[in-house]
Amino acid sequence: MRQNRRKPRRKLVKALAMMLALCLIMIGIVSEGISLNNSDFFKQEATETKFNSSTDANPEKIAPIRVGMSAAFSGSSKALGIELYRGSMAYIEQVNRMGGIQGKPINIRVYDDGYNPIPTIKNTIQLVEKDQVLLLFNYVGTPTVTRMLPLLTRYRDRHVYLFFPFTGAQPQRQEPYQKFVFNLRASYQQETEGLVDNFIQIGRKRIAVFYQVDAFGRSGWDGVKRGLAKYGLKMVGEATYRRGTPYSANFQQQVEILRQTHPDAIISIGAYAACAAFIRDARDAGWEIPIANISFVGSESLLKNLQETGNQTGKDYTKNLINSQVVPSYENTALPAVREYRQLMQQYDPMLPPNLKSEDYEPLPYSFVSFEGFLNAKLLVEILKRTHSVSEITSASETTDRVSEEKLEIQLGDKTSLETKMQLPKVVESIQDFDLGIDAPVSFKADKHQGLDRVYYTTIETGRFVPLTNWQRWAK
Amino acid sequence: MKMATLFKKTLFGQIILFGVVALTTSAVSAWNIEKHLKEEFRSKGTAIARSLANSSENLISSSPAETTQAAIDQLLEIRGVSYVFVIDANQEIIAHTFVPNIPPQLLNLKDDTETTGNIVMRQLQIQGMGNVIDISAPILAGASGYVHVGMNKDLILAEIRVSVLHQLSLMLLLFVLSAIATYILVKKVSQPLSQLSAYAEKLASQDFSATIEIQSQDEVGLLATTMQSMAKDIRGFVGRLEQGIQDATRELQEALAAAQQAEEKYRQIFENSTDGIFQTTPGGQFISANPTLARIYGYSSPKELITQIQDIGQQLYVNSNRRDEFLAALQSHNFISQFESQVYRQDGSMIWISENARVVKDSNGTLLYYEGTVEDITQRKHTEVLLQESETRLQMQQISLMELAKCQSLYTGDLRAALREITETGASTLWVDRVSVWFYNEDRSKLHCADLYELMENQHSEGLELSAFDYPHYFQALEAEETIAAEDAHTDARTQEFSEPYLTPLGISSMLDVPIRLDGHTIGVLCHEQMGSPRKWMLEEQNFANYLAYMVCLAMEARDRKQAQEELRLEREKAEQLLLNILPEAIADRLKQEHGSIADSFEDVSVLFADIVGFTQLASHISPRELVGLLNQIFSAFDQLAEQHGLEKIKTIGDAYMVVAGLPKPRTDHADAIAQMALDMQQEIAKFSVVTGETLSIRIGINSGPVVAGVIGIKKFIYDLWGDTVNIASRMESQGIAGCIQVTDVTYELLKDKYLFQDRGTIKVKGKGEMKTYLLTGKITSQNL
Repeated sequence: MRQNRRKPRRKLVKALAMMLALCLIMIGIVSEGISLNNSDFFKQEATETKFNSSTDANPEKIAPIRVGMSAAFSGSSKALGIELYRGSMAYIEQVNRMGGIQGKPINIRVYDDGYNPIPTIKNTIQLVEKDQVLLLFNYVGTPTVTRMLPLLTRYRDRHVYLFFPFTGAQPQRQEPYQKFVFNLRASYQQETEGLVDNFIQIGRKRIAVFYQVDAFGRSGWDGVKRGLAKYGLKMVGEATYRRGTPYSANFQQQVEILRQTHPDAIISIGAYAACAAFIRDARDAGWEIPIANISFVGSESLLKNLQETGNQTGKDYTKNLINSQVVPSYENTALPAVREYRQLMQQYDPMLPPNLKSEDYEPLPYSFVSFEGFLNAKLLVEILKRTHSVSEITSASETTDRVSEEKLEIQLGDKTSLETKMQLPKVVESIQDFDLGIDAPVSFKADKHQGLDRVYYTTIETGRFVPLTNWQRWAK
Repeated sequence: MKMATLFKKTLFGQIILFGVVALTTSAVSAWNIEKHLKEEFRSKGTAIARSLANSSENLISSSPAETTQAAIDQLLEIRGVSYVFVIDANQEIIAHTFVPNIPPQLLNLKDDTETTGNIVMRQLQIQGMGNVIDISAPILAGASGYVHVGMNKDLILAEIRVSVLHQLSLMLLLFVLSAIATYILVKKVSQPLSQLSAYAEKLASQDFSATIEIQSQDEVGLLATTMQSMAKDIRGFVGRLEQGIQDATRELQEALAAAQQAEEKYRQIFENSTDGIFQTTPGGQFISANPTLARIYGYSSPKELITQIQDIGQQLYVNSNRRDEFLAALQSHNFISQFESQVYRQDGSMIWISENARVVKDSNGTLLYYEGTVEDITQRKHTEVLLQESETRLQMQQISLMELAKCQSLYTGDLRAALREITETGASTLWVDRVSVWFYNEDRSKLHCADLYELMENQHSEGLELSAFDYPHYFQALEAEETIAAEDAHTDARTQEFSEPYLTPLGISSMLDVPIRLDGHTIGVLCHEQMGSPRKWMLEEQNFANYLAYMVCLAMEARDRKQAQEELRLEREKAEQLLLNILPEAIADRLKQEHGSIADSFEDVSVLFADIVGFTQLASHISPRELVGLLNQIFSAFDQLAEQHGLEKIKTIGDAYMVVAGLPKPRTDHADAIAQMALDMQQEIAKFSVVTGETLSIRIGINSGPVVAGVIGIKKFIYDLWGDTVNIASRMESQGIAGCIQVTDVTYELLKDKYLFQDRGTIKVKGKGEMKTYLLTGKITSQNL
């Protein structure tokens, strides 16, 4: 009897236990679903930095001079990274073929950051700690470079220097980072102030700014603001876009916002995809206002986008456009550097390392960006030559005992490179009135780590960028 | 049922309970989350704003704008942060994160922030961003400007939505689980209850045999035991009561039984009679009927018969006047016997009955009812009808046979036509779909269809074959010379083997096959095949089929006779032809009639001799057999030409050929015909030259004039010519020129208008002296004229 009574109770307990278990499982599933999503997100970010490549310039067992580059090779600004790299490689290829620098080839170790700060930082750490590059070279973009600058302070003891980043932003031209960075190009402030000066001279005082809402855009915005402040003026309107917005996006809202402020001219600080789209939508809205873009835009890529749309709609989008440049026009073959650039570009037509290749990108034969890359490389080679002749003596004295070739290489690499690195600022600062072949002497000083100051203005005529000589055509 | 209502009630309660719990907990947790998240967002926002404000103390004064921008860009990555912007001491925004521009609402904020030096929070609704908590923190107590951080309030709502959704789905799951648990529990509780109620119901219907199996110690168990003891009491009480009633009933029944026994005896007679017994009213209704009658009429019981038939005249008799005749007969005689009629049974089928009946009157002589017996005579009637039908069929068959016997084709020997007649007669007389005649082949291994008649299509065909190898049983049965009358051909042992390959595709169900016998042997079979529903073959039908088979024999005999006659006639004709080849027809006829020799004179005939030149040389280098073969070919060709031209070939002598025109039937154009013959012969021999490769030519001589022709002697008859004309014709040939036709001037005179000649001058002819001759070169045509 007692047993009979117990049975149902046991069953009840079992049932309750089962229900409880089911509830727990369900709660588990729900919470796991959420956590899975999070981990996926992190994984993706991690893999992006794993793009790994090195240009093959090491046929013999000679330790190459390795420099590191992180730039946009994907996304809506990839043309900048690709062309800058190609321009540099055209010159370096030539140097390597001629025997490198005292027998050592130059090797650019290159990573894609997609024009995003976090990958840039990770790439830099990789280059410095794993790849142990001699120096950093040809970084692209303000938001990227601005964010990696603190790393240079962090690596103070390793003497990591950034050479000729493709940005005209202020932070790397000012303390505390000025001493770790060597610029070749003029700053955005110089570009934007120059544009403001020119517009005001022809009576266009109401200036509005279209810019990328990040450090780069802010840099240009600040340049315009300062330029106007000299005349006691303020910008009449501003509109922004988010970094990475593609050409296919709609910019009618921005056009409308700026148009309501009735400006005389627009200075546009952005990447080519967005700037081209902004011009397209402005012209489509029947707004023929002069629009000025600065050097970072990637002039040829901007033009290419506008021409393609023009071909489809039958409209000419290339009117009333001004592009400021920090290198002379590659059409000006009177300059020896231009001739050399054109010859080497044609001769080598450098390609990207296979893992960075972009299927839908067609390289430009010549461009301001690749010309800048070329000049960067030319100056870098000069610096490396000068550095090498100094370090050769010191390193030779220390290689008395030979253990094995491999070990030796590492030892040599470590020691010589640190010493070489330490010498770099002095070597660069020793460059005075150096002739790059562009009819503008390059000089560095301890408190001025910027080689060039000139800004060149161009406009589009018959589908090509030509020097802008007559601002009066837009006089008001 | 009971459990379901119980469960429904519980479920309803559960729904309400869970509903209340779900709503209240959701509301509470939503409120909690909102409170906490709001608090968290506020504190987060404040922390961000404050830390940025603190770090900006240096940034704004010393760093470039992009450094400030880079700093606030990072903040945007923090969850919940909608925007960040920094205002400097001049109340100007020096860095922000808005796209495409700074919302105008926020531009107006700066006046308010100026007044306070502390952190300020505002609830804002911004177009394109939704509800935002704006938190502003002063930089250097407002002296260097302010930092604004916008926290997305809508994110809080979304969080609440998600968590409430999770909570509700958990509740739903729990509800479903508890509903299942409740269902099981309720089932457990309600089972004994429903058992109890079923038990109570049984008791109510006085079924005391029922027991109940509830053993539990709870209230339900107690109830069960109480009910069981109560049921026991009631059972005893009811049992005693029933015993009393039974006793009383038994006494009563015994008394009744005695009375019934007497009646029963009569009843037995009434009920067990083999005849149907009835009592009917003059109005046409049954008063009583015995079970036999009901059975005859097809009703299940007499009662049913009595109630269902309300008008005998209309409902029972097939002929509605029959009842009136029945009544009329009774009225006049008071009695009726062997009154035969056709009636309807209950199921509508018709049967034949024979009635005996009488009138029952009371003592006053008034009519009370009729009573009588009924006998079912359907079987007898049916047999009568069958007999009649059989007779009709026999008559018909006899007529058909007579018709067939009159048919000419049976005797003329045209077997094909005869078979057609026979199969058609068989099909139309026996009304069979397919009738066919089959004959054995020589080794009796196959049957060949000589004629098949299909009644429906009215068409004949032939040629099918059946092999003994495929149908051994059938062939065996035929060999036994038996008539195969298969009602169901699919199952009959003799025809079963046809079922699949033959019967089913054609839809044949019954077969009647009779052997055809000739001279005591079975030579074939006459087949009758019935399609559709199976058919029973009547004896007289089988006999008829046998007659038909005999007819086939007759036809065959006629054919054989005809063939024999034909052969005889052919033989005779052949003999006659032979004679004709030797002698002209007219002569032959006369020879047949007259016997003895014949010699006739003909005044005008032309005789031709031809000799093959070079044949002797040929004989030296080919074999004699080949030589004769070649000669035969040439002379055969000449024979044909002679026939074409209507000439009489007389004979061949070695390699010479003799032909004459103008006899035995005289003709005026005899010279013309012989000239044509000569030209054709030249052409013919030229052809042979081409074929043999030897140069063959002929020498031809022709003469015209009177001859005597006849047959002389008694053996080896030959029709021959005599006379000078013949001799000269022979000389014309022998003294002619190879490849030329030499004619006498007699013949020349007859032909000169129609043919071209060359004068040969005079030649010396043996036994004749000098003769003028001509060479025939061709016919005068319009071209060479």
